[in-house]
Amino acid sequence: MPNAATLLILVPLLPLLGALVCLAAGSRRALACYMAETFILLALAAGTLLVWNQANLAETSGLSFRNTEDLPNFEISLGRLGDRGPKVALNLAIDGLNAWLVFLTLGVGAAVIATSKSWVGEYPGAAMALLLLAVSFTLMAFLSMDMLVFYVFFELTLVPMFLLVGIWGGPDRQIAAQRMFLYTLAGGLCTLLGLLALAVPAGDFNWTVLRNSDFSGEGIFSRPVIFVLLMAGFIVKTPLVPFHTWQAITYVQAPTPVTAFLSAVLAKLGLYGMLRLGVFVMPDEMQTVGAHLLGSFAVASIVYGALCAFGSRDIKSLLAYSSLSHLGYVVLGLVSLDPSGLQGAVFHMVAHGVVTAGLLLAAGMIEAHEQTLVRTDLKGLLSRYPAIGGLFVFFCLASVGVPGLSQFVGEFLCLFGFFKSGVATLLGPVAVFGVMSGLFLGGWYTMTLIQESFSGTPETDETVPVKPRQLVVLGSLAAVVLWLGLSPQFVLETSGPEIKLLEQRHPAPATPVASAVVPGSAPRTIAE
Amino acid sequence: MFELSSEVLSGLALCVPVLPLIAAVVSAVLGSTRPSLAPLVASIGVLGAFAASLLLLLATAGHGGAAHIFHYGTWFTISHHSIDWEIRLDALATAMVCMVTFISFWIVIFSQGYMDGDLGSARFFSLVSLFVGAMAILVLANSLVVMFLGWEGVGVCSYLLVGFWFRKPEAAAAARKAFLVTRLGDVALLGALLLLACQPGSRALTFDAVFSAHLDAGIVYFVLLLLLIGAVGKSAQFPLHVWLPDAMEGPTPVSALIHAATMVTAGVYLLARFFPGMTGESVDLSRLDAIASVQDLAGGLGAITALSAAIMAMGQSDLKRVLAYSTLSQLGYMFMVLGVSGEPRGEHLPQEVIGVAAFASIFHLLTHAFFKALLFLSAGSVMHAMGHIIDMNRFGGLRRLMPITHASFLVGALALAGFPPLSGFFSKDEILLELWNGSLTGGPRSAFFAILFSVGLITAGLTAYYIFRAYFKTFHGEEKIPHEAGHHAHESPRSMTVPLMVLAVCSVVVGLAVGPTGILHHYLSHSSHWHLHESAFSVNIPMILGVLAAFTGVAVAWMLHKAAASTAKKRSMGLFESLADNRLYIDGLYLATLVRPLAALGSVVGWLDRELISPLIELGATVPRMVGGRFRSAQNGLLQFYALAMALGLIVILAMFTVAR
Repeated sequence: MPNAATLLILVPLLPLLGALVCLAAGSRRALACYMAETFILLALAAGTLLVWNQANLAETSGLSFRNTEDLPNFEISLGRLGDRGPKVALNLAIDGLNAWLVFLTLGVGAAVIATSKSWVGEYPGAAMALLLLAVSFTLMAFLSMDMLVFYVFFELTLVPMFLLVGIWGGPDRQIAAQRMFLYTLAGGLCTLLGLLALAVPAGDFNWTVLRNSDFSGEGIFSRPVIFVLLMAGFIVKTPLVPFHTWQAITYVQAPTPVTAFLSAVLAKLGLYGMLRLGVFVMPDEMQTVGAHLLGSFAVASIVYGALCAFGSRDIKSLLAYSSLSHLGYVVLGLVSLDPSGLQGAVFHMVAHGVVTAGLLLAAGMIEAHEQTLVRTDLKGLLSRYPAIGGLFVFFCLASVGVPGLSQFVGEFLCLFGFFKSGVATLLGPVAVFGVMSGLFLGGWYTMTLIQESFSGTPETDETVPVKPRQLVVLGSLAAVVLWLGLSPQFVLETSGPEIKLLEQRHPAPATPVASAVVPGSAPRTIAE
Repeated sequence: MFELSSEVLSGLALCVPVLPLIAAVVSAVLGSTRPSLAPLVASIGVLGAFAASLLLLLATAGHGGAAHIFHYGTWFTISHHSIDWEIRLDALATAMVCMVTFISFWIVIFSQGYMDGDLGSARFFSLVSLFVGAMAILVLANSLVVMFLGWEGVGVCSYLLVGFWFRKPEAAAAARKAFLVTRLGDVALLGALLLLACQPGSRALTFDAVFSAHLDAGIVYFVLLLLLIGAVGKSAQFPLHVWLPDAMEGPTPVSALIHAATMVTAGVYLLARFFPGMTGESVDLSRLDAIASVQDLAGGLGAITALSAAIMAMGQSDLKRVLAYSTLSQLGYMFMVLGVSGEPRGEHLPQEVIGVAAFASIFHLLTHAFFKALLFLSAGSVMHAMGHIIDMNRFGGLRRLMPITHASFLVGALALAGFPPLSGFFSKDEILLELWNGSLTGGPRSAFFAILFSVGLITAGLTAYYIFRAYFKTFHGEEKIPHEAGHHAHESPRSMTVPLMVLAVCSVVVGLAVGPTGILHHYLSHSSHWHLHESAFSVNIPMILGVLAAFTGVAVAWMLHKAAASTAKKRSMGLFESLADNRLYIDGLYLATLVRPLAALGSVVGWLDRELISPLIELGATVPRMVGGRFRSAQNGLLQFYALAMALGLIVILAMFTVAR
């Protein structure tokens, strides 16, 4: 078995190599698709090995904390930024925070590539290369322990996405691509500014160094300001209301499998940034500024996203808004800073990724045949697509939060963190009402979609046969949904050791106040 | 009766939910190639579950006391407390699970005949097995979160089975309505779990941990209130009752199983566990007061539902809807008696009073399951013969054509109306007696209980009226068969009549066997947190009044409908029929005040976001785009633009940074 350091560089390198090979394949569609699949599956195998080791490590070591330096890593120093500027290094490592996101990226990447034959048109090599490039960049961002390198790849993921949307997208692809680009760039530059403000005094971009830095702010760059700057890019990338307006049009205009990758993986990059740079590097600001700012944005996203999802015109924009709504719960878990809430948030990122990938890929398969995803044009899809439609309903139930399927545990733990940590009391009864009503509204728009488009009698009675490849892709995603729902503990525990680091940072944390607010009543506080 | 080692008990208990779940998977997989095997697999799975629960019942009948808790694994952990896959086996759970699996088995057998020839029958049997598994999890779970899994699981099965014929728009709409209305309650239930999880004492979220935790009276109140909302949604009580009549769009065996005998009683089961359980071990007045105020609500809502649903049942022309409203009304009885709160009464402690009330509700739950399932299956048998016509105006006088169905419907109707000595008589009497006793204490709530008692009594009369109205219209008068039935209208096949006969026998004997003999009372007294005291069966005033009400109801139905079953339809009951047609205008009220405004809000917000907010922000983005436009070339301008902008941005930011330093 190759050692962990080799695997660490192999995992992002394999898709990169695959991208080059695919470019060489040019317009030979079969060859390009075949090569892309080979390389992503190789990367998936390597990644699974890596993640599995890491998860087992967490399970055997239990909840004892560990230093990130002790983890297997791959490191090349890149010198300093400027003469006496902070140190930069290519430092790849896998820990509890990124392990399952790496797995998610590879798994969803493989699913997307395996189902992308239909839309690549005249440039199959270029499309496959860009998809592989997106996977590779995302992996680099997730694995990088150097925050500047993280930032660079965080931004670089935009390039393949921008081209994929801009070239292969729908009629409004130019507007969509530009809007996505402008928004995320604007947010990203704020993040860069914040990162520099933090790293220059610390003298290093390394995550551990940043975490332990006691820089207390200087001039206008006080810590709360740095925090807000840092978070700006992540808020846009996730996105959260009111910085979401690039999302729906991009999701609709992008080829549907690309939308699946955007929603399942790239949205998590923003949340991951909040986790690694917000929760771990600036926990105090997260607890004060973050709880107010991100917490309110999250609550707004939950309710506003759900309402927009109901009012959306096509299935893709419904799913985009639904993502907006569901990811709000992850943010609530993050701002809670409660160990269970954080574990739930990390878990929920993966759980949501799998479900949303399943929904969008299934929708894409229907779109490939129907040529439309406009809700009013579709009727009786369950009769026309018994297998794909049935799996779509299954993913819908998972998305609504039915226990036993993946999203329930994540949502439950995030909400637990939200209530227990006192963020609920902080944000007040209106926010609590919003958060809880989001759970109902999720069922409301989802069931309405199923009733309108999937039930009923179709215009033609001919059943569209399902391809074995489609069944394998959706079936394995469904199996993961069930696995995550029924035995989530293995995945939940992986992030345990890192979350312990937070408690280590605060040897005597301010006694958390267990509190709960009941909708319609004054906040009640109960001392623990 | 006999001893079984703990390992054997644990294995048997595991069989109860797991066998139907395996059957669900197997019949779904097999069903795609050999649909005819699906009913066989499902019936074996459910029969296995029944056999296991019967063994458990017999093995634990002799020696009660503490509940057995069996551990099978961990689901997830929450702040160092693990949520475990555990079964909690006590008398109440065992009795429930026996009833559920027994009735499920006979309904699966009935469905074999009923669903014969339906294209999706493999899906049907797979979902029914899944439902039985989920219901077993709901009943047997030790952790509240696992119970919630079962609770949502039965809800999802109900959703999928109501919408079983999803090509019919009505079925699809009914499925969505059922899911969403119960979802409202489910969110409240989830809120209760979160509230309990936030209390250090009850964080483990098992029944025992919650019941023994030292909770504030305020927390007890909110937890119970949220649980009540959950129970009201699931058990279709006012004001969340609107989904159940629509749910009749599902296949009739589903209505019998899910929407009469089992799932809809889950709310009663939950409250019958929690009201006595939350009293705690010692007498804590503030806590009892909190419980009592939630109980008042439960009783009040139950009374409203019992009476209004009975009124709506009186005017229905759809036989299944009569039964649906009747289910609402009977569940209302169970909620009413759950409202009997623990004012100290004589030498009995408050806990004992609440325990006895919970016993009465569970007794009625059990007997109701048998006779209501029987009534639904009889209606299904009628539907089967009449070519899926269920409008009572279109058929009549079927007693000669369908003798077995006729006899079983009559038995069910007599049991429902509460004629001695059928099972409904004993359990309804128990409820009326508790309400009567409550009204005699002279405490501050005695007037409230007196009202509840009179509602119960009036409803008893109305119940007898509407069910015999349906009986006379369907089986008496001139023989009338709709043309959809073709020329082969006949008694149903054996696979359907045998379950009818079995359930008919049960409806006659179950009440008599376990009620006045004290068997059920004795058995359930071992259920922890119920402080039951021995009581002997005797004739009492509420019983006589109840029987009188039933006779009156039947007599009125006989006078109005026996002779004129086939002639004048709308006579003196015109008002009720118009009220019933409009469902007392409650659905319309919701549609106007909640459903449509919410949908309109969604559409408006969606439109605004699409058409107004995004372009508005676009305006702000025009400036950079104009700048960018200068650098854009015709060929591949987008990529260059990106690179340039990024570089420019970097320079600007670095410059700002230097200035700031």
